[in-house]
Amino acid sequence: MTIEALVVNETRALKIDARKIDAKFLVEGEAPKVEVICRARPGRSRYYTAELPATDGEPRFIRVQCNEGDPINDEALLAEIVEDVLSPEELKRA
Amino acid sequence: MSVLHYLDNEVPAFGQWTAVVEMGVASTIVQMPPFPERGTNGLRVIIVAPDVVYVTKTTMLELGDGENVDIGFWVYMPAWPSGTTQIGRLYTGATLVGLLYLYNDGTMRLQLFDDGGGNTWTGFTSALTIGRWNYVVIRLLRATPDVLGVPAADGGADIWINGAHDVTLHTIDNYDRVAGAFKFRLGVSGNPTDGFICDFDEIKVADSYPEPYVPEPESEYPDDAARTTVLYRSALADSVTFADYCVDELGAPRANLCPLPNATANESLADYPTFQAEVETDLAAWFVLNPTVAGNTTCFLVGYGVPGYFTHNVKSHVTTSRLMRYGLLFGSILLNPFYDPAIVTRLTATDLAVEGMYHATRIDAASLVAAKAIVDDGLVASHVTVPDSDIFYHESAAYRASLNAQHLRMELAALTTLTDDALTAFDPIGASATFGAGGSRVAFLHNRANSADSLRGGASSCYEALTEGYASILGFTSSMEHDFTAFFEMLRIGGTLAEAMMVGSRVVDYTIVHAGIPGLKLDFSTTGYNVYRGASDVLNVDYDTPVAYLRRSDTSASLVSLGHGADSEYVYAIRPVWKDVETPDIDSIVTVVMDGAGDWEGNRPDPVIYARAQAESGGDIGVYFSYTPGSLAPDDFALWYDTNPSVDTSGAPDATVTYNRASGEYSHTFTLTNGLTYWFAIAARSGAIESEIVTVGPEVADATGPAAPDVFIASSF
Repeated sequence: MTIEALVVNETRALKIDARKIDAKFLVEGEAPKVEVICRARPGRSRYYTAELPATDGEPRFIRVQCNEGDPINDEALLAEIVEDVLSPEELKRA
Repeated sequence: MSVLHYLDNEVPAFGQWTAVVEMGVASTIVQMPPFPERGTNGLRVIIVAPDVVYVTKTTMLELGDGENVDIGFWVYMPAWPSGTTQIGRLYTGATLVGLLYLYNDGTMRLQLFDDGGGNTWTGFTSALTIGRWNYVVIRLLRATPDVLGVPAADGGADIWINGAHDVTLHTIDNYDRVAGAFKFRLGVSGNPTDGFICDFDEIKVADSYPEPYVPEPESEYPDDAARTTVLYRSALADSVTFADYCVDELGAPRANLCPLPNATANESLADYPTFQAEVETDLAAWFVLNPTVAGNTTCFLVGYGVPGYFTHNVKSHVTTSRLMRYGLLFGSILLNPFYDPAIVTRLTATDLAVEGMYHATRIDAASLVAAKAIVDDGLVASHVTVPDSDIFYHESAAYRASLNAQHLRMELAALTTLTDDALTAFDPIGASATFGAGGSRVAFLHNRANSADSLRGGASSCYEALTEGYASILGFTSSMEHDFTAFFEMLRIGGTLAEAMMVGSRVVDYTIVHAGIPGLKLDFSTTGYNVYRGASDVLNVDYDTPVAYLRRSDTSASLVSLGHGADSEYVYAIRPVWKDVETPDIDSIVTVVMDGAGDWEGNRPDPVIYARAQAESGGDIGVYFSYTPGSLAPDDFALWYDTNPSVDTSGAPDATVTYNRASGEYSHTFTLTNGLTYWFAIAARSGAIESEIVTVGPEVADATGPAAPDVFIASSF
C-alpha cells in the first residue's frame, strides 16, 4: 500500500503504538483513536492538529508545524509526538 | 570544530526548524525578539500551564563510538520559572537520551538515560543570570562499546555557561541508546510552569564546542569594542552586572565577556601562582573555547571585582601590566617594546601580535555604582573636544614649554589647585596638587610609589582622582619610569587611552596601573596658529617644521627655547590653522635680529616707503622717500650709495636725514661722479637698530648737461 501525504482538510487516524503509552489511555487494551487533520500547507510547511484523549475532562490539542523532510513521514512524526505526550514517563515527569 | 546547523531563526515561520509543536492553545511560541547583536528574529516561548510549546530539529548526525554532539544557544529569561521546567530534550532516533531541566533558582541539570533503562543526573550548574543573555552549551557524549562484555560507561554530558565549563559527567553507559540520528527540542517540552517566558537564539549544532556569534572587528584599534575582552568574576553578581554594563555602554560583544569562575578576590592575590589559578588559567581555557574572540582580542578590560594585583618579590604587581604580556612567560620588570617611540604612531593589531602584546586597562572602584561612573566619565570625555577653558596641569616646566605640549593647544599650567582641570601629570617629582572645581577631568597620571595601590579606597592618589571624577588614571604601586610625553602625543594623534598607556609604560609585568575605558579618545582643539622660522629671509622659512603651536586665543608666544644665535637674523612666519587645516596663503611675517651678544635688538622701525632716485644736473642724484611711522618712530634715516646693486651698508652711512614727525616726505641729494651708475640704500634707524633696508636705483650721474634754467615769471601788465 502506498502511503500518501495528508492533504489540506484531510483527517486521518494516527497509528499509535499501544506499548508506548500509559495504560490509563488504553481503551480495552488498545491505543485510543487519535485523529490528525491537515490544516494548511503554505509553501513547504505543513500544519496539523491532533486531538488527544481527554485526561481532565477537557480535550487537548496538539498543533504541529512540519517544515522539513518528506511530508509522507509527517504521520509517523505526529504519532511519535503523541506517543511521547501519552507515555508513562512523561506522565511521571509531569 | 564543524558547525552542522546554525539556527539563527531568521527564516520566516520557524523555517529552519524541523517542526514546531504547540500543545493546546494557551502557550505560544513567537519568532521574536532576536539576540540583540545579530538579526531581526529570535525564538520566544510563553507558557500558560499546562500547555507546552517547543521546536524540534532533526539532524543527520549519528554519533560514533565515543563521539559527541554539542548544542550552543543564547538564552534569556526575564524571570525564573516558578518551578522546575524542561527547556530542552535530546534524542537519538526516537529514543530520549537526555532532558535539560531549569530550576526556579536559575540552575540547570541534565537527566541522562542509559542502556539499562535507568537514568543519571548531572550535578547542578551554576545559576544563569536573570535578565541577561547567557550562552549555554550542552554536550552529549556517546559511550565507547563494551569491552569483553563490560560496559565502558564513559558516555555522558558536559555543560558550559558563558564559556565556563560548569558540569561534567562521563560515567554512564549509553552506547546502545545513543544510536540514531540526533535530534533535539528547545522550548518547554515538559513540566510547564505558568507564566514562564524564555528566549532562545543563535543556536548552533556542532561536533565540538561551538563558539557563540562573534561580530567581526571593524578596526585595528581598541576603540572597536570587538577588540576587547572583558574579564569578570562570574561568581560575583556585581561583576556580572558590570560586564553587562560594558556591553550596553561600550558596545562590547556579549561573546567577548570572559568569566573567571575561579577568581575569588577583589584586590590583591598572594602570589603569581594564585593569580594564574584565579585569572590566567580561566582566561586561557576560555580562549581555547573562543578562538575567534582570542584572535580578535588586542585589549583586555579587567572588570569590576576582578583581582587587580598580586605580590611577587615583595612588590605589588598589577593585573593590567601582567596581561599586557598575556601568554608570555611572566618575568617581572620587562621592557615594553612599544615604550616611548621616536615617532608616536597608532598601534595596530598586527603591531601587537608581532610582539605578543596586548593592551590592558582596568575599571574597579569601591562600589558598582562608582565603577559604572568611570565608564560614564570615559564616554563623556570621548570624542568631545577639550573645552577651551580646560587646563592641562603638568609638573614639568620643560614639558610645558615643549612642542608636544604646545601641540595639544591647551592652556598649560604648573601644579596647583586643580581647577578646570582636564589633564594632570606629575612628572618627575615635585609638589602635590589639590582638587578644586574640576573641568572635564580626563586623565590623571601620577608618577609616585603607591599612587595606585588600590582603586577601591585608601590613600592612593589615583583612587582619589577617580573618586573626584577623573575618567582614567595611570599610577604605580611602586615608582617606575614612564613617558608622559608619548602618552599625550598618542592621545593627540587620535590614539586611544589603551594605546597611550602602552607607549607611556616603560616596563610591563610590573607595577604600573592603568584604569579607564580602553577606547577613550580625546579630541584636542585643532584650531590655532602654527609658527615657522628661517634664517634672514622669508624664502628660508621651513614650512615643514613648525617651531611652535599656538592656541587660537594666544596673542603671544615664547620662543626663547628655540635658540637664537648672536649676530643672526630670523624670519618668523605665523599661519592660522582651522580644524587642522593650515592656510598657506596667509602668512604673518616678522624679522628678528639678534645682536652680538645673542640678544634681541629690540623692536625695529618700519622701513621707508615710496623710495626713488632721480638724476639731476651737475652730477647730482636726488633720493626721495616717504615714511609713516609704525609702532616705533625712528630717530633718523641712514643712506648709502654704491656703484653696484648690493649696496654695502655695513659701514657708516653716506648721509643721514633727520626724522620729522610732521613731514612724511624726505629727500637727500648726492653729488656724484659723472658717468657712473649708482644704487642707494635707505634704512630708518632707532638708535643702533635699523629697519629693513630699502634699495633704489640705478641712476647715472650726469655732470655734462647744462644746469637747469632758472625760470622767472613776471607780470606783463
